[in-house]
Amino acid sequence: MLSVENLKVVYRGVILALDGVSLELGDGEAVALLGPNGAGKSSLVRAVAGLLPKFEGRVLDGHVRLMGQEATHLDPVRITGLGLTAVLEGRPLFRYLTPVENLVAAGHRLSPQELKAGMEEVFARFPRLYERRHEQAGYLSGGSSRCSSWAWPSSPAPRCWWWTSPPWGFPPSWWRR
Amino acid sequence: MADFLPYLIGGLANGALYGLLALGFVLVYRATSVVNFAIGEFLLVGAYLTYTFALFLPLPLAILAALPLAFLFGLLVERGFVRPLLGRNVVAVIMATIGLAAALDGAVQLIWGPDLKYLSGSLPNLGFQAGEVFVSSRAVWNLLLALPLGLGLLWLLRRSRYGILVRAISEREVAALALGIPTARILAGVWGVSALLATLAGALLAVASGVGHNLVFFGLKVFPVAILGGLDSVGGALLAGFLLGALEALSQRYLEPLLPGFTEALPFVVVLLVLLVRPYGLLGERQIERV
Repeated sequence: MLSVENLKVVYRGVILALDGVSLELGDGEAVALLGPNGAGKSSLVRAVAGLLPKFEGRVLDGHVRLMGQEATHLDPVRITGLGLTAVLEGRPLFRYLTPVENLVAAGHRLSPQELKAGMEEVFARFPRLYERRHEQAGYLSGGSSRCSSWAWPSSPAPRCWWWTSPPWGFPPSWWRR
Repeated sequence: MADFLPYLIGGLANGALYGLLALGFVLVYRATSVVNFAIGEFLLVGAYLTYTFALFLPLPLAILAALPLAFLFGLLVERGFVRPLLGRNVVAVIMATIGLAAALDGAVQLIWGPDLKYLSGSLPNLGFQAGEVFVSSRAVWNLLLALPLGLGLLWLLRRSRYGILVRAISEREVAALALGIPTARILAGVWGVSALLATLAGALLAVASGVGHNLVFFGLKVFPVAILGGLDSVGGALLAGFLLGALEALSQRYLEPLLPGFTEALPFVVVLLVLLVRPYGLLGERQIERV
């Protein structure tokens, strides 16, 4: 489904962030990348998601293939179109939007019916989020906003999710479920 | 009171145009963080476009014809001047819009000449007498066009899918990109809308007072209005437009005899007060901070 081959990433033309990274991810698999700060985990995510230009970086060498298609220098719009959604590190929500609006933004490709169904599914899974669906997301508790970052990429029905940092900080109640 | 009402009506008529112009200005600021110093020239170009179309079309049609062209003009400016500089130093983008303003000033004078021109044709007369007060056709037209358009845009921004995407991008462009939102296309659209609003304001001004280079000074009022309303508040811009229009009318009526020329300075006095007392403006949002 996703294969990264011998990837080389450079920021500002001089800062070498990745060199010779390869990775193979099949259908239904989950892969965790572990490493200290500065190891290049985020750079790999940015490279795969096509976000490097926004960080003054670029892929110098190597290939990214997504669903069997060459995706190395595609723009983010095309890449998410192929079914990959990146969840960025830090607070993943749009703080000034409500949870509902966050889901609308995430599901911008969906038809109104699909969007409605997706939203119902998300809110069924996270009732706490439903209670506060019209409040600005910036005021949600840390746990709730983590929940929604989990809920988020599921709404455009992507086939591959990709976190820059794992959704730690889920409320305990959620793990028990 | 009765002798003040005509001033107030005139002030609100002006305020409607301030509101329209500031709405586009703030929309662009919120979505792209660019302070567009060429907004006065957008208005100028819009007015001249209307003038040109009015040479061979009835005036209402001329205005309608100028609007799509203005939208296109906004797209071009975004593509040519803004997008290549986005993400760079904020000052670089601001300097670019100042340069653009100067270039547009020159281009307009080259194409249309320096002298004041008057539109051929006029809008249907909608002026009426309400009791002792005469409501001018200009006031009716300004309010009739600016209010529904402004409120409609606000509604779109709040409720429509497109509006939600604009707000998402304005908060965090990278996150929006990561979700596959076509940010470049949407931001270009925002510039287009801003140019369209400026053109409508320019056309309505031109109807009232002709087309000349001094229209740019009307454009300068957009800064006080935007700061009064809150630089990041689109609704505040519309409200502050009317407010400033009304304040100017008040000053014209009651302060002008005491302090001749004060009305000219009033908007900027208001800016100073706002910045001192309430720097985020009437409806501007305070940042959500989380540690």
